[in-house]
Amino acid sequence: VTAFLVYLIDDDARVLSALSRLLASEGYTVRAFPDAEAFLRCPDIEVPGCAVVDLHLPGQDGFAVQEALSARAAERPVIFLTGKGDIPDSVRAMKAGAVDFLVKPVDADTLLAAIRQAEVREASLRQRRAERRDFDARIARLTPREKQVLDQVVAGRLNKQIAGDLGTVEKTVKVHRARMMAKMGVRSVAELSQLVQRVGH
Amino acid sequence: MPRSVGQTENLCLGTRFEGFDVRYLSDLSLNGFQEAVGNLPTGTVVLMLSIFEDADGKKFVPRNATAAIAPRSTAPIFSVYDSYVGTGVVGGWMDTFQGVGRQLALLIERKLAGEKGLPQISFSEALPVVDWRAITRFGIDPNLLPPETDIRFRKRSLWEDYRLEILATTTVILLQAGMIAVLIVQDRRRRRAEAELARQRLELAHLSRASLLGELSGAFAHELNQPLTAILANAQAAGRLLERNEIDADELKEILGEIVVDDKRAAGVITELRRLLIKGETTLEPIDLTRVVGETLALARSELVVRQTRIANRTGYSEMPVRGNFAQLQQIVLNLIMNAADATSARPSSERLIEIDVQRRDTEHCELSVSDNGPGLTDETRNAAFKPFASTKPNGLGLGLAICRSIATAHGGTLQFDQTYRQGARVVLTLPLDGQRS
Repeated sequence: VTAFLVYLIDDDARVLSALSRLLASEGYTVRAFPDAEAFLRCPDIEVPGCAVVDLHLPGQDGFAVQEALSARAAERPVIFLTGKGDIPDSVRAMKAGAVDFLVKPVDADTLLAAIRQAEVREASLRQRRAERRDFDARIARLTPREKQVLDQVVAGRLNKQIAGDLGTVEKTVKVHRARMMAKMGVRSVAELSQLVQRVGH
Repeated sequence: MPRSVGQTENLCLGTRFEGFDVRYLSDLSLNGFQEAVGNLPTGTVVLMLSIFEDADGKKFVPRNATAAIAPRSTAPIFSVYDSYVGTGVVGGWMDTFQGVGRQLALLIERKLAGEKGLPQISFSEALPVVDWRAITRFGIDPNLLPPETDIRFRKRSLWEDYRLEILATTTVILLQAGMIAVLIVQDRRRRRAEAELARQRLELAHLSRASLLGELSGAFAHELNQPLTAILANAQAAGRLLERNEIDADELKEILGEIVVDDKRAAGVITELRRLLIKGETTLEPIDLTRVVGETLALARSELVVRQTRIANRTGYSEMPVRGNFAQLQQIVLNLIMNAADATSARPSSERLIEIDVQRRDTEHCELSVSDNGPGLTDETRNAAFKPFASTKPNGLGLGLAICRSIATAHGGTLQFDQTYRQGARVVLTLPLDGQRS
């Protein structure tokens, strides 16, 4: 049983009940909402999860849910359900980062595959978020001088050049550089460049 | 046939005359005379002279005696007396005033011509006189009559008497008949044209309904998809749970129950669609207008969700009995709702609102109103809205409201904009209440 949480949003109570049963049978924790407003009012829980949203809802529609979710710190992948497979709608949804755009009535395998994909997406997002948090924390521990050295190193400059630019001697740059590398938790320039590129600014 | 046969007759005729037997009837009572002539064989003629007194001593004016006898005769009766003509005798060579007059005139002519030695006494020249009715009675051919014959009592035909009148009357009757025929033909043509018009109106209403449904097809697909989605999810969930042996009979029963309900829901949508799509009859049945509104809203719900327009049903639960065609009334409600949704689309989605209500107007009418909070209509567009092809929408045919109004009219009702409504547009359908049920 995974702890993965699925938010289900559909204005049809019977559809909610049936889909909840299906997802629960696969071990997912399901929270069902009849409209976007009810879902968005609900406090965000720090549990891995995704949202399965009917595109057409009374009041705010599925796109509004997607926008609201992506504005949150903890981004959740969105899977759209719709009564009609409308191409402009699906393009818009996918461009905005939806995991999938499924047409009702949806086959269990298709829906579960999409949810598994959402799980993977969620996990990588979560990991990136963690990395980012870690990276930001490390950056925050750098002194202004060390920060300057980091920028120059990532830009591929040599110690001598950096010393010239910063108006100091090569020996001092070497010390700053060693401290910076230690604080950032990397052992080589290559590793540092990779980290900055992946999580970077 | 005198009472007693005189010498003159005997002398003139004898017992045989010109190859015919001669019999004399006299000294009989009036009855005796009547019986005697009532039984004469064919080929007999009777010569009537005078009867002054019969064997019973009854006295007569001879003409009256003749009048009593002649009608009984089976043989034609002839006479020499002008005065008998008309009593039933056929006629005879008779002295007439005409004959006397003619002789006198000839005499005077000769005298004036200076002729001498003209006779002092002139015998009258008898003229043939017949009673037309009598020769008709005995079947005597009038062509055999001498040309100078004075035919009396000839019954002139109506045609001879009233030729002009008959012609005029006949003409009038013919003209009238012609007129009536023309009117009947026209009436029939008009009826046929009316029937054709009604049929075409029905056809047009159906086409317009079908195109309306076409516009709403996405919404209907959604209405069908919802129960199908629930059914599929429930069935597959049950399958998965069964495979893993994680399901108990109660849960299975619950799932199956939900599947049945959703299946019926889907069938209901199809029934609704069918009802709207079939051509249908023009028959008006007792129906509840509130129910028409409720079921139409159920059909339009998805479309309004997609259009992000809120609709408030103010009808409550009270019944509103009218006589109507369910599909056609639904068509009106659907049209009005869709128009209202179009009208509100300029507003932000959170403000779009349509209100629908059914009210009793007076003791005999009810009204259904659909109002929106869109931009409303100018007097000009309001007036043009019901005319065909007067659409303000880029892809509208402009037939919707025109057809809706013709449906309303066929229901004995009206369809018009509320001129006083200022917060947007308000359309009001008025229908007569179904008196039998209210």
